[in-house]
Amino acid sequence: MKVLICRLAGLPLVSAMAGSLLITAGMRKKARMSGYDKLMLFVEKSTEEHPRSKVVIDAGSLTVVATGKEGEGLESKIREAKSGGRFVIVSQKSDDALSCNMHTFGL
Amino acid sequence: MNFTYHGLEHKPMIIAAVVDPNTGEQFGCKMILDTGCHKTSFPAILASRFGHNNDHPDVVKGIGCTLGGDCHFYTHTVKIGLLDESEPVAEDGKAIIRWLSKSDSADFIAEFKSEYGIIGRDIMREWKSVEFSDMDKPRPKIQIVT
Repeated sequence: MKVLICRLAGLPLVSAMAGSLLITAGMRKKARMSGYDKLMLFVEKSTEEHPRSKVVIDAGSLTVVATGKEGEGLESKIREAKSGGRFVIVSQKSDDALSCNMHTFGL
Repeated sequence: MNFTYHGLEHKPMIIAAVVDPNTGEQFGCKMILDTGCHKTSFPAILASRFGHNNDHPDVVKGIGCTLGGDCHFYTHTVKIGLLDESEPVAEDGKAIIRWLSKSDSADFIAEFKSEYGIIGRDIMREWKSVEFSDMDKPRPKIQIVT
């Protein structure tokens, strides 16, 4: 009986420990987000924040260095951002409904 | 070499490096992996960004066929690079490219109006395999073995 009581009393502790381990594992999983995933999420977020513009992103510092439309000096901003060989990504929100067919091919 | 990426915008779209083998310059570009497209392609407007000139007399030009009908293309020299998953960009701001295509040309299509490129089968055939999973999830998984 004593053993049973001890076992029952121990359950919450074991449960708490297991929960703690799971939380720790979850945190570790979150902390292990790859550099590529961080870059991808930043590109997505920046693009969403500027839905009507092209967004020029410095992929090294994860910063938006310029936004604008084609023909508004965007190309010179991109060249400036690329100075020193920095890796720059230009992103624009694509239209899900029309991409890869009519919109993509200018129809 | 194995690469596991998560797709952007709910699509099999990755961030890849576009490299000009003549100058070594690298450019970041969103690219859709399109198994139905035989040639790697970009919008023509991106050519100048990658250091090329569509109007140069030596540039190969032609008329191709797309889902939208005939298209006018310019062929330029570029290679496609796959980025390191854990550290895609070094501290000096340059891309860390773990795999670079042997193929060194792509078509730049006048009617292609977008800000992303298409990785076609000319690049994919250099890989051992490419696998798409979790396609119903916001971030589909793309596994490439080179």
